[in-house]
Amino acid sequence: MIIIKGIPGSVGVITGVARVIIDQHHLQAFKSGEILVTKQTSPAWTPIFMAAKAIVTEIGGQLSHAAIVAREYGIPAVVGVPNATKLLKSGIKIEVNGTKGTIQVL
Amino acid sequence: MRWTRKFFNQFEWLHKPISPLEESFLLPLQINKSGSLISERLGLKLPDKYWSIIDGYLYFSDEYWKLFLQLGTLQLPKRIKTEIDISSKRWITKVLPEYQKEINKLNKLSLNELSVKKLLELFKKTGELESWFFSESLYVGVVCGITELLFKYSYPLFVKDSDNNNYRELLLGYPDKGIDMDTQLWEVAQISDEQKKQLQLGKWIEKYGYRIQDKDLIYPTLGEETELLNSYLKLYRETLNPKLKLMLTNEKRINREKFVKQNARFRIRLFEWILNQAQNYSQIRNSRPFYYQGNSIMRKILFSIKLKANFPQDKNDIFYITMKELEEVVSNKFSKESLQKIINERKQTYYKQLLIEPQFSIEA
Repeated sequence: MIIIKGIPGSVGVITGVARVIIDQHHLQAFKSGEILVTKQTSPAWTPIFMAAKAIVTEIGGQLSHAAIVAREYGIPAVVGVPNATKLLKSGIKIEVNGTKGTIQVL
Repeated sequence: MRWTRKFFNQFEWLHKPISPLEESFLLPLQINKSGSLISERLGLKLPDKYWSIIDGYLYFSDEYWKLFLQLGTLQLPKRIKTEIDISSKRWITKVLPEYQKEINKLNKLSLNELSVKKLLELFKKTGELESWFFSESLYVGVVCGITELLFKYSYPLFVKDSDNNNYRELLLGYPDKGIDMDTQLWEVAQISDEQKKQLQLGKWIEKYGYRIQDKDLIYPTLGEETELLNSYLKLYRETLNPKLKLMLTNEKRINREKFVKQNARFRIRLFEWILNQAQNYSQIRNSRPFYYQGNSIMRKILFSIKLKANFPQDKNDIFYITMKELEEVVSNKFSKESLQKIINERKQTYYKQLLIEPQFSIEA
């Protein structure tokens, strides 16, 4: 059982398919209801939050943009996960626990 | 001297190398204005050199904690209380309207009719405006952070709650400029007629396309990324109406407010003041980055300068020269060949810096 730790950004527990997006120009690969895994987000990325089931970022704390917007949309988020985009691969099933700040590879 | 990137892990800004144009013009203006503003309003004297760009990345002094070892710190609680009382009103009634008024004037100008020298003056003027606005935005952001932290640490003292992190629910569900923009984009996506959709997308871009990716001028604004926007439109066709999610969030806050009333350990004005201020500032905090319009205008000006000055090659080459070099180009003091050589070298350096993870702490 692989559990990756980060900072709880937005509460909730959800299971879904990870989609690793490094560059926003690859956003067309993202499907509605997937879990966004990325290095960091910015104001230009927030449109994707509406379609995401959960958010995982490498950079950011509890007051980061990713955490705040995830809370507004009521979706779980784990932020500040070192090397998340290398440890998680697109297509794998993961559980994101935004309350504890953990990601479990299923 | 020791430098750190300690605070950058908390936020999403400036995790990539800074372009030469940004480094030589806008970033120093913005940091110095912000530092002066914080110093003036909170009564803390900043050291002469507290920031530096090393290998393309922004660092702050590792001795930031010395900021609190001065007499001004004794006055800090009182100043913070005063600033909490006045900052939101200042932001809403003075800063935002003044900024928007200037931006509206700039947006009305026809850049094609201006000479290269006039464009350069306009570029500098817009940079000054954006730097002032950025400093005010950063300052009110600091106050937002202070009010949230005050609320976070007082919540368990005043409310009987098994999970102290539930305080966050009290800061949700307020009007948010970013979410409003995205909701309107979702509505555009639902239009089935392709022609009408593209027309509405054009209107959306006119209204909100200035949205920035990061602080640096080198990054296109969202309105310039039409392929990306069309990806969002396609994605939104499969996405449920966000208004439902937002309604649920709003309900969460209302329910938590009821919970607080029923589970307060004791009713005390101080806690009510802290809660009201945190809620007031949370609305400001979320919306701030969605007001930055200067980068969009400055990029348009730069591309106009590039065309009129018959600038070398690639559209984005202009971001690899410094402000001084830009002035020399406008005054025809630079040969195209030597300029292109400098640009090519700087691009190589920039791409190398992009691949490197900056050191967390560095001696320089």
